[in-house]
Amino acid sequence: MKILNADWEKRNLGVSCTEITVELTDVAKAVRTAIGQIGDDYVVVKVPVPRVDVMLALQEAGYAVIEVAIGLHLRLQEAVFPRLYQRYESQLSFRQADAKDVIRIMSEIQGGVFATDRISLDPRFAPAQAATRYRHWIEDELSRNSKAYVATFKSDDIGFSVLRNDGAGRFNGLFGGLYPAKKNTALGFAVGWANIITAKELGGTSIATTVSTNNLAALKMNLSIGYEVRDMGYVLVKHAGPASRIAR
Amino acid sequence: MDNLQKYNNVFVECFSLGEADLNAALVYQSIPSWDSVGHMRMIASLEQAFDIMMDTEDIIDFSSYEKGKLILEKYNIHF
Repeated sequence: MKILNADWEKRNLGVSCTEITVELTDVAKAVRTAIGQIGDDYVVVKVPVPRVDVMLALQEAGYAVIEVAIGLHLRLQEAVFPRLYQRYESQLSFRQADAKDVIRIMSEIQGGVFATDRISLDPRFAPAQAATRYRHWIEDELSRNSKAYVATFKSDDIGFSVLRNDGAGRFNGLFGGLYPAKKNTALGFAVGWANIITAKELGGTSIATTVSTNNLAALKMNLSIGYEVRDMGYVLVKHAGPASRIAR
Repeated sequence: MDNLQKYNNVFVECFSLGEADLNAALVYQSIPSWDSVGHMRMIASLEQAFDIMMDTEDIIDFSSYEKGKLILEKYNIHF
């Protein structure tokens, strides 16, 4: 079991936060003991499928399942541009984001690129908090070993992706999204493909990404561009204090 | 089978709808099955049903059940 003081959420969300990652071999009693010792505003526990016993124990302790995180994986040597989207291939291009692009990406995020993450959907948080969290998260990643890319369709920028190099040929497609004004174009696959083709061009051997069950469209899109399901985990959350709705 | 029936059949089969669901309220992302992947599959089915190949701009503009009929007029599909 890993217990992490998620102090970045104080900056992101204004709450003290602990994140616990339960492992397949952890016993439910140990998890119950661990959560009993935490007094943070917001606690997140990630439980690997199929540890339903741990999930139920957490629910008895007042935790709620907010999503299942689905881990996806693709061996890059198997990555081919999907036939379903082939007519778009010659009209798509991708470039590494420059400083001006990053400014736009941050502005677009604040305008509503992401709406199905566990913060956006949690009535105890406001959508603006979710957007701020993504902006900080991406800034943190870009200051480390991640890069942002812009997807363009017929010379019109439509969205972005963020790719992390985990070393030894392994990449992680951390984020991707169409700009709000382009969400009705059905071109979401382009931002997913941006990470795949870039990782391949950088000599990568595999790429992973994670999708929430609250975003069925993203799951279907990622499966359509070649990813396979590797693992799943329940994500449970608990807020301290009485339930109160934040004005939206 | 006339063109409207062919058109409706595609929507019914691709999105698991009933005929009563085929109206002006049926727009892209108004139902879970009409997401980006569903959209591409629906377009592929229309192209097969009517033996046409649509421009990418028309595919992107195809934002609703009603708009789709207007777009298909450009391909000589009349309703």
